[in-house]
Amino acid sequence: MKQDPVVVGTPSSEASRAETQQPKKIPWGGLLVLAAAGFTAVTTELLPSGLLPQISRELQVEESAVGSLTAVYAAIIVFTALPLSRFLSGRVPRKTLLIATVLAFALSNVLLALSPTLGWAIGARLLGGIAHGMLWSSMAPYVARIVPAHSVGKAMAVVFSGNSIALAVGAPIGTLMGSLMTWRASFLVLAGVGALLAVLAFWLLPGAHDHASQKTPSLRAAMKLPGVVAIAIAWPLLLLAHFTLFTYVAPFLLASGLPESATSLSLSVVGIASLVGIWIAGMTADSRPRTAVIAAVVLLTLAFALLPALGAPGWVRSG
Amino acid sequence: MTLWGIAFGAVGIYNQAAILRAGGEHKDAANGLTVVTIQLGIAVGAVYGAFALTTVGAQLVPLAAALPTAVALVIIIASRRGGYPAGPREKRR
Repeated sequence: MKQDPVVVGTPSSEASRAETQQPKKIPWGGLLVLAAAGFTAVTTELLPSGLLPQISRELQVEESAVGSLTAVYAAIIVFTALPLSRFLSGRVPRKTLLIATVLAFALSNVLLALSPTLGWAIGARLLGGIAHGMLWSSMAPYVARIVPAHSVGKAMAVVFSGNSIALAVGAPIGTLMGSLMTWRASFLVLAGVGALLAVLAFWLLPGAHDHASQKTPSLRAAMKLPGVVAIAIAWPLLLLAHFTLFTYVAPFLLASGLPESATSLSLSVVGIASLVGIWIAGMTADSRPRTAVIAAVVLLTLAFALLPALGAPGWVRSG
Repeated sequence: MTLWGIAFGAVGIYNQAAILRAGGEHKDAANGLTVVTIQLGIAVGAVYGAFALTTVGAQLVPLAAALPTAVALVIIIASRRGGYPAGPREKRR
């Protein structure tokens, strides 16, 4: 018993249209540009953490206040990503939207690099956060339209590798850049990368065929579809778990009797290993999505459950 | 640590593919919904981590992280017909 690979979970009306309009080849160049844009976005999100002491010294504010640069960024995503993507979808061509988003990133980083005060810097981060929300909410549906239907999983793996690499190395890169140049220069470098990516995107990204008959995205209709709410709860729970430990991995390692230097090493191990996971997922997401996702979540749960035991053998023996 | 990384890298891709599949013709809105809930997840994760750190101690923070993944696992197993259907090369059970 096999399901038709093209119409997995897709209502038949769109699937038949997709069959005729879905492109035959994978635009690798475009996907790599998107991956690089995602990398830049997440590095932008994490960079202030690596440069905290420098920024706090120069703007003469507390480090915790500089921490608000990251918080503001995340908060604005929560409030703007949905309304904006609903408003712009269908009104602006997807390719134009993505390029505008990358340029907004570059502009946000230039403004941040020039900020004379913390207030100005927060304003610049607000712009960056809006761009971040737009980028992630428009990227995946765009990718789904520019690759053949049966390679969506593989294409997502390529594009989202940028995200994963940045989560692993974004903060360390920030620290490294901070030791080589001023924090202002670091953000200018990111802005330059953004501008370059916008040019490449203009050149390499294919236009997405937007069917004229396409409905305006309706959140209510989407939530009525079976499974959407389940995924919208289960996925964030997994990220919640990841960031629970990711944020406090330093105290955990210290409590397990490992030296402070183990922290950055461990985070690099997690980052590099996640690349392996992405690679495996890219090969299995289109053919065995259910078995694979269950296996991955079981492994993740096991890894978390076993870490305290492995980290401190003595504690296990006594307990 | 390695296991954590591999599994975490993989679940992101599976879920991204799953939401686009489940979203069907409303995949933009469905995807936008996850963009928001994910940011909430990240923010709550940091807060929850801080809470775990003060209540059960640094050494047991990973155990605290295993709780939400276990809940997610239950949701995934329960929604075979909805969010996480079997793929073309998987036998229907």
